[in-house]
Amino acid sequence: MDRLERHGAALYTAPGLVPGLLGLVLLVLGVVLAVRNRAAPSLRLRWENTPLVLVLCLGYAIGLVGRVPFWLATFVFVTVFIAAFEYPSRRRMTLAPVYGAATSLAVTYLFETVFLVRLP
Amino acid sequence: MFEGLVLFGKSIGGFLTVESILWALGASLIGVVIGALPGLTATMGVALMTTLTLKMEPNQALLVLVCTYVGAIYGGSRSAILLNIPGTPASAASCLDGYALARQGRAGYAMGIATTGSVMGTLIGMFFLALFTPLLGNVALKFGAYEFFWLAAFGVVISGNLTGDDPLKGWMAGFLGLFLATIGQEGVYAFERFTFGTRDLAGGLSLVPALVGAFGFAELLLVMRERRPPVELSPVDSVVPKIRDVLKYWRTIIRSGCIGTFIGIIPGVGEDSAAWTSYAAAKRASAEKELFGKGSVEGLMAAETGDNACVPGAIIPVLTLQIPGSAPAAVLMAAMLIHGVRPGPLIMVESPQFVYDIITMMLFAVVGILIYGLVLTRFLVQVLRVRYQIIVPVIFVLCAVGSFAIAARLFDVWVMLGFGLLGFVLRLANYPMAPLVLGLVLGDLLEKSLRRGLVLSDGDVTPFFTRPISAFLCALIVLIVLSRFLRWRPHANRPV
Repeated sequence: MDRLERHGAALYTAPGLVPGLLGLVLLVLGVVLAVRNRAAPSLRLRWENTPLVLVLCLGYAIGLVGRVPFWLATFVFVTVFIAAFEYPSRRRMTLAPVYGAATSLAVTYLFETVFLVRLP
Repeated sequence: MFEGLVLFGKSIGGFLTVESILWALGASLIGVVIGALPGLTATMGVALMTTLTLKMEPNQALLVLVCTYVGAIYGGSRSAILLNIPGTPASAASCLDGYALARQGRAGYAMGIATTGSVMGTLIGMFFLALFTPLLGNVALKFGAYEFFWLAAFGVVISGNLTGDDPLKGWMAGFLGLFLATIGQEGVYAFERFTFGTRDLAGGLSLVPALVGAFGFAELLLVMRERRPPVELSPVDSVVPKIRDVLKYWRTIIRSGCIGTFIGIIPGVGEDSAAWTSYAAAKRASAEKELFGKGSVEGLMAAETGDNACVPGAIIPVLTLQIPGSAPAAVLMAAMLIHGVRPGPLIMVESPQFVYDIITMMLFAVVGILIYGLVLTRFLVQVLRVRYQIIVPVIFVLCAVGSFAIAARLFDVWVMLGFGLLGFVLRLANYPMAPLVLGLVLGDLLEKSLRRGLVLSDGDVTPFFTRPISAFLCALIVLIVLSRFLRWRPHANRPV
């Protein structure tokens, strides 16, 4: 493997110097934190709606964006998101596609036409 | 002095176009709405608007961002007063007396006082921005690699120390930010670090998608974590405060304005600390101490003046040292770099006009919040009734598109998602976000300065400790760390 010493690199100019030092500081702080909190009970997290929000958001950003036309991906995401969280109110769920279409149209127009930004 | 006034006049003349006024009013309104909605912060607003304004002319884009920033810090007071929930962390201190006044049937009056305090705070901060930027710029010219290294380290340490409940977690967040900033090719040998062979990581993590994730996506996850009950708003009376009531508290206004600005100048500390410190100082000096927390007009005035004065204060170190005074100022600085503006010690030499342009942008924002605060209050109050189920997916779409828009690559959307998840988990575990952001922003400066300093001294570390400013900053860091270590007591983790 080509080593940086060949280019005259000294220890104090090594690329690993700063990450190494920062890693060391993090290690020390981590040890202090662990020692200080050794008697503390483990952190109890309440997730509540988070798994559903994560599935919807990651599904949109990883599964849909870039694979299907942007307007369609946005319409589907916003509609499903609103419908899922407005359940069981039927009246509000029926409005979800309207919000989805409005968002899809507004964002596409705003980014492409007004702000001249490329869409995925 | 007169030169400054001439430059200021030129800036006002330059921005006095219909287009600029409309952008300023629109951005201030967006800022106020984002700030008013609990869970959506000024940092998120500025980060999202950065992605929207990429293709705009730099001055117009920065006008939009400054107005969004000022508007969002002000907007947080709406929900603090009406719902007892701070719209942004900066407004937490306003809840104490603002909501107490609302419960006494004086919500409109409280909002008027908050508007006046915010306007006065921003104006005082603007005055100091004009006064201190040239002075600090002159001092900064004496800074070399050694001083900048300590300054970057000081920023992370003081930010970790003063934001959040636990300095240890604050420092960990800050050093994690510095560490993440080392991803990608380093500056001396173009050696790739932590890229795992992916070309996308070779250029390092893009700052704006990371910030959009840490403040946008993470905040959305927190907002949606639990279902919220429908909001119950306090009735609103007259929103125009009497001049006599405002003048009565002139000492509080000036004191809070000064405190807010000076806290703004301290790297990475930000508006919430400014509000709390101003509030505490007003309480100590007040003749009506017993009213604080029970609907004190003076307390509300102090908190609102302090947090808004912090906004121009936080921009002073951005302009002179390239070190942000708060999390939203960090995003603003990233936006300046994207638009080709290079703040730093040479700003008063190379482009003094830009400093006065920023002051003019603030002036436009002040006019915006004055209009919205006094005229559109009832409309803005209705914004608080909006259902999160509807706005959260829309904002997430903006987060995704905005991250993509920076370089037109999907990888940045994944960076946004990664930082969103990281920010969410860290917040749940009670780690503050401001030091993380400051670390990300300052990582490059810290590394460059350390390595440049070592090259200059041929590997000798003594100049880092013997040059006067370096020694002072180093001693300050040691003092801060030692003072906290000596005060620590073991305590149980709170369930979150």
